[in-house]
Amino acid sequence: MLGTIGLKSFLLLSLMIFSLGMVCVLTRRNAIGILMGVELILNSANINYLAFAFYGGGHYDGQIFTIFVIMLAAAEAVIGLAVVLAIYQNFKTIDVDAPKPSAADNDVESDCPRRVPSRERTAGRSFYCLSRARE
Amino acid sequence: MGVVGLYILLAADFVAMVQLLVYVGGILVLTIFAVMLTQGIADVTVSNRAVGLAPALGIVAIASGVMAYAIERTHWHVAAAVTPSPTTYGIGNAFLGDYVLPFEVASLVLLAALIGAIVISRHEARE
Repeated sequence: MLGTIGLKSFLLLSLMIFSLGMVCVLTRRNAIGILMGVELILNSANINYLAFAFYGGGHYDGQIFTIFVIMLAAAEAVIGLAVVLAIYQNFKTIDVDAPKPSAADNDVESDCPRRVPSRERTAGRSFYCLSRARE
Repeated sequence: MGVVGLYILLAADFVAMVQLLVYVGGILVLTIFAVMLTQGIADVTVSNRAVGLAPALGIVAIASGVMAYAIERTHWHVAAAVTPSPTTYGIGNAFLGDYVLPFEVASLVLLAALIGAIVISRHEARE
């Protein structure tokens, strides 16, 4: 069945998937998009493991490492998406290039118990004081 | 995902099923929930959306070119082709034999990830 498909084909396919994931990680501003890119990179590593395990004599070591990588990908997705949701609750944006709260914003925090977040003003000021006033 | 078909092609049936279950049951649902819970991520008006596109493409092109060159130039020693057979027995033996310590550590990592996700995503009034 695999007489015509060589190891090199699988390695090149894995390289392509890795490159797509790397471009996705480097260019996305959306944090969820970055996590999807990380999943692509982990999948390319899995394809490499299984290809070497298959063409290297059929040992089980590569498959076991693949299962560990899948487990790590699941844990990474859980933690990453929890962090993204926490950031969204505090900053109302998941743009990774959004400006961070500066020292000047801390003065505003004392007199804004409930400031309505407006998406077009996030470039000028962050609204992390909003979540503190949430019931 | 389409990667599952490649795993089956590489005679890794158990890994393919694990990948299918984990991704469909876990990661896909989590991603969809995160996309739905974080509203308004599509209508951010970004004027310089592609500001990092050219350096990223350059870096990835250089790196992937080097790796493709290495893949093409290396003479890979390919063992004799194995006949596809069920791998569950061997994987189970290896998990409870040689790899029993990483197996238990993996369960601890998953437990820590679960508790950590609950702690991070829970918001409560601290003061």
